[in-house]
Amino acid sequence: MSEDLLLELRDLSVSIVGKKETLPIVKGIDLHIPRGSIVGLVGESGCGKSMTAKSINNILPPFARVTGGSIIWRTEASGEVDLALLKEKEMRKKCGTEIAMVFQEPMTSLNPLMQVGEQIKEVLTIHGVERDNKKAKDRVIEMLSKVGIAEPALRYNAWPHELSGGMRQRVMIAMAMICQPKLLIADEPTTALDVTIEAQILSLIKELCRNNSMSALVITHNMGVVSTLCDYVYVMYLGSVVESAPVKELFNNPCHPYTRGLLSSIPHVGDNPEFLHTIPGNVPDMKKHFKGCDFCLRCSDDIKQCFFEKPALTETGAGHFVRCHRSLGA
Amino acid sequence: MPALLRRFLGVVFVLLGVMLLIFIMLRIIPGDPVSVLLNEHVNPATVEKMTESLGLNKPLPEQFFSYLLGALKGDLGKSYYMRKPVTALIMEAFPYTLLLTVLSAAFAWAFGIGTGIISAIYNNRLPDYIFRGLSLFGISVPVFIVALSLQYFIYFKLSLLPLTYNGSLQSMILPAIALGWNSAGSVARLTRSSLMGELEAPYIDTARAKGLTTRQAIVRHGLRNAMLPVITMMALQLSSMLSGAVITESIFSISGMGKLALTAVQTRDMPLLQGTVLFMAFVISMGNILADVINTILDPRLRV
Ligand SMILES: Nc1ncnc2c1ncn2[C@@H]1O[C@H](COP(=O)(O)OP(=O)(O)O)[C@@H](O)[C@H]1O
Ligand SMILES: [Mg+2]
Repeated sequence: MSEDLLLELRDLSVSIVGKKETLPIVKGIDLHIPRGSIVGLVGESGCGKSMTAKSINNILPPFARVTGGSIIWRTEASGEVDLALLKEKEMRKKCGTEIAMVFQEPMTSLNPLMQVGEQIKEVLTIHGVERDNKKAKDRVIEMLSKVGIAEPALRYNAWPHELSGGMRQRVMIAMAMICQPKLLIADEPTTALDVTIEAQILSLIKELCRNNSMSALVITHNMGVVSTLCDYVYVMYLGSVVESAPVKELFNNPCHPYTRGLLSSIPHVGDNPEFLHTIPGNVPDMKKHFKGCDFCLRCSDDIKQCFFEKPALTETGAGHFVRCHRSLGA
Repeated sequence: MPALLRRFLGVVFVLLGVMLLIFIMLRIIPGDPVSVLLNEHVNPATVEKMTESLGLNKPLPEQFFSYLLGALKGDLGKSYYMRKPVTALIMEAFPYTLLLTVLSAAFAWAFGIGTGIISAIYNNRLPDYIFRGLSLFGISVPVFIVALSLQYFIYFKLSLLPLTYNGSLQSMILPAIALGWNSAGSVARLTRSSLMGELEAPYIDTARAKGLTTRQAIVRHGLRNAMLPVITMMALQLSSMLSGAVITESIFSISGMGKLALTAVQTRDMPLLQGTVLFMAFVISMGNILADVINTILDPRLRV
């Protein structure tokens, strides 16, 4: 079973390490990405999604560090590797070739002072994949056309600011795909784009995954993105996974009150716009240590136990895990 | 490039304004040049003759326009005091100032950019504390103190380099350090803060995610972005060094532009003062245009 997993986060913790105190941001999460599947990671802003993603290819900011757990990467070529223990040099060799990433802000994620084609070509040159300049350039142009950019030879020389948001995200995807990686991490790839462009980018990612038998970790706070793209979803709240299930199961049978809140926050045509559903309250301060359930202050369903004991992640159905006292029938 | 043309047109207007302003100012401040040139106890007839020969009795607009016409032809009049054409005096003095400026800019920028980069990379660790302290020292200690301390330690205590300028390149080293000291400090601080800002930019994450090491990401992507504001600052420094080395040149007795301007003020030499101020204004404007041109070359967003 575990041989089918391309990536396995085991009890992964990430913390902001200061001089005086350590602030946990990701609190021991388990996450599996089977080969060839698209896994979603959802949760509201600040819950630690990006930090989780950045710990995989170790591009965490200087103040954050993996403080526990392991990141198991399984490939035929190199067997089982714990990315968390990998030397920086070895890690960089995998980045761009085996593990690629697409970010939220396609404008600022590209270097404004470098032509987009050159930025894509850099992946080939840095890894020594294609030393011949002309061939490398041809490969970039071919990739640009694969991600749906018209007149790719012309666009090769474009500067980032000359392209629209959707085009820039296509460039980012081309950059990620050029070495045919095994895993694509997409951190809110469509949050900065408008809805029609969002649909195009999502179907592009889906198609590229299919055609290249690539796996993907898609991070979003948008349940709509999850339903169109993902096979399996993890719902994250305040640095922990609170529920995970296959997409259909999660949408049909959400168990955690937070997941239910997220699902009913999706507006439908015909809803009364004055009564949009929201989850009350804000994400609580991570600094405050609290022994009860992290969600209980915002929960409308809480029972006494929720204030005194953290619920454990428990399997309630096939592949369906929930962290909630209530749904365990307590 | 019409933008550049517009900038040059702007410079012409700036220079005209400077010319008019200095012309008026020199004529409303008390004390006239003739009484400085002649002894105070000469008879009024001599004063009148002198005034007439210098053209100071003509109406002001006429004086201004004849000066303007001359300036267009490269003739900035004749120095009252040194009895030589102003243009010739400037051309004599400028090479010294240019050499001083080039040397001190080289020192200031190499040192400032180098330590700024190290500071940014070792943010809040020992090298950063050292260089940040040095650069704070650099911007807060006045030029004359730096100059005198250098003379005291390097010449008087250690006898490593000459006290004042004597025509050799070695004797230009102390003046160059003294003049570049402040600039080095401000370049270091700006480089540090600018680079630290760029290191948080998402494109650095992108670079690392595609397999560059942090160092490669800084060198290939961060540095270029971080240098844009620094270059603007350096061009401004260059023109202010070129035009304002009065203190340094006096301390090290270098007969450059600063010293020329100082002499002009001390002797109420109107044509010479007008000439040097105009020339400095020209140099500063050119420095600003140079900064724009370089930034346009580096930053595609500024190209139209
Ligand atoms: N630059 C930063 N400085 C301090 N704390 C930060 C910074 N960036 C992120 N954090 C902390 O990390 C937490 C998780 O951030 P992140 O993973 O970016 O959230 P998400 O991607 O889910 O919106 C935030 O709630 C915040 O507390
Ligand atoms: Mg994020």
